[in-house]
Parts: sequence; C-alpha cells; structure tokens
Amino acid sequence: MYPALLTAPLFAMMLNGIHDRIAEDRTRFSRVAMAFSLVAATLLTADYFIQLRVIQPAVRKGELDGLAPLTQYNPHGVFIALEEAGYLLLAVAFLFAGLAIPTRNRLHRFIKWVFGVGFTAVVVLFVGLSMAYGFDVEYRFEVAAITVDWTVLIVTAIPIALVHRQQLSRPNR
Amino acid sequence: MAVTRNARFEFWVAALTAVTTAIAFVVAVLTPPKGGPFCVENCVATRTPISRRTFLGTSSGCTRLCLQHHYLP
Repeated sequence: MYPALLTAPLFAMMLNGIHDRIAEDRTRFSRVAMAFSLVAATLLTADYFIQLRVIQPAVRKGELDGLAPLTQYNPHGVFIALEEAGYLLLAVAFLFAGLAIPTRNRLHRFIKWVFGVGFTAVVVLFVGLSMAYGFDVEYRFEVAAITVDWTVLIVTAIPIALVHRQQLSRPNR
Repeated sequence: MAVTRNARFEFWVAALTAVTTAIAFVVAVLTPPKGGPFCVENCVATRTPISRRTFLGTSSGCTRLCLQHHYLP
C-alpha cells in the first residue's frame, strides 16, 4: 500500500513537467489532465491513509464496531469504491494527457497511443463489468483498473523519462 | 541552466513513477486476496445477513473474529 500511495501523486508531478514543455495550444488539455490526476491522487491518498491510520489501529485496539464497510477486505466496501473512482479518474487524466502530447516523433506517438488505449480499456472494463455483474461486481473492476492504470504508468513513464534525458543532453531543443 | 535543472528533475520524477509503480504492481500481484470473488483460502467474511445486523453484538462479534483472524499472529 505504501508504494501505491506514491503512484498517483508522482503521475500528477510528471504531468506538471509535460505541461511546462508543450506548446500553448495544447496546455488546455494538460491542465484538465492535471486536474483529473489531482482529484484521483486526493481520493487514493485518502483511501489508503484511512486503511493505514484508521482501520489498522482500530483493529489492533479492538474497536471494531462500524468497521465492516470501511475495511479493504470488504469486496463492496468504501475502500474498493474509492479505489474504483480514483483509478477511473486517473484513466480520464490519461485521455487528456494523450491529447496534450504533440505528435513530433515516434516516441511521442507511442506515449499518446498508450494513454489512449489505457483510457479506452478502463472505460470499456467499467461499463462491461458493471453490465455483466451489476451489484455483484465486487472488486473485479478495481483489480482490472489497477492493472491497466499501473501498466500505462510504467509503459509511459519510461519513454517520458527518456524524452527528458534527451533534453538534458540537448538543452536547446 | 534552469532548463537543464528542470529536465533533470522531470527525468527523475518520471523514472521514480515507473519504479514505484512497478514495485506496487509486483507487491499487488504477490498479495493473495483475503476476501471477495478471487479469494481461495483463509477468506475474511465481512458480510452478514441484514436481519442479523440488528443484533449489533452478533455483527461486531463476527467482524472482530474475521479481522482478528487476519491481523493478529
């Protein structure tokens, strides 16, 4: 849970770097991407902190009344709902991040493509699993959304780091 | 100079994003589910029938047993 706490805030910081470097006509998309990523980071940070600083001490101290809806082991509890909302909003941030990135070279096109596919996959999974399972969806969508979102974050952060590294060696470009 | 410093910071943020997310991913994959549809064994049951929830002692007792079973050595 500790590394998961950092992923969404780090993505927001990464978007901040993209926002600073793109042409002005695309900053409207990067601003929206940053807004969605910050909402996602806020939701996910609150969600994980509630588990770490509310649920775990309460269980240790035997203060268990009312914990059932909040614990992460409840497959349709508050924890799962907030995670679902957070990772869904992170996917929306992917859409606008993809729109913000220019198509200058193959690396840029690849990053755009991965962001677009990530957003589409999460939306399709949300609609598909909700229709297939209804109220019994439990944490199926949460697992699927985390898998897609984290794959997108890993696959896009590496080329974005490479782009910044290229700028380090050629600062005038 | 400032451009270089910014690019270095952004490089490290992107690299850290990839590494942190990869660690979180590996930890998540290796953690067995303790409840819900993918749980295989030693599952935590948080659900109780609605009629039994009116008896708070029964409901909280069930939750206590389930959670203590998971958390305590």
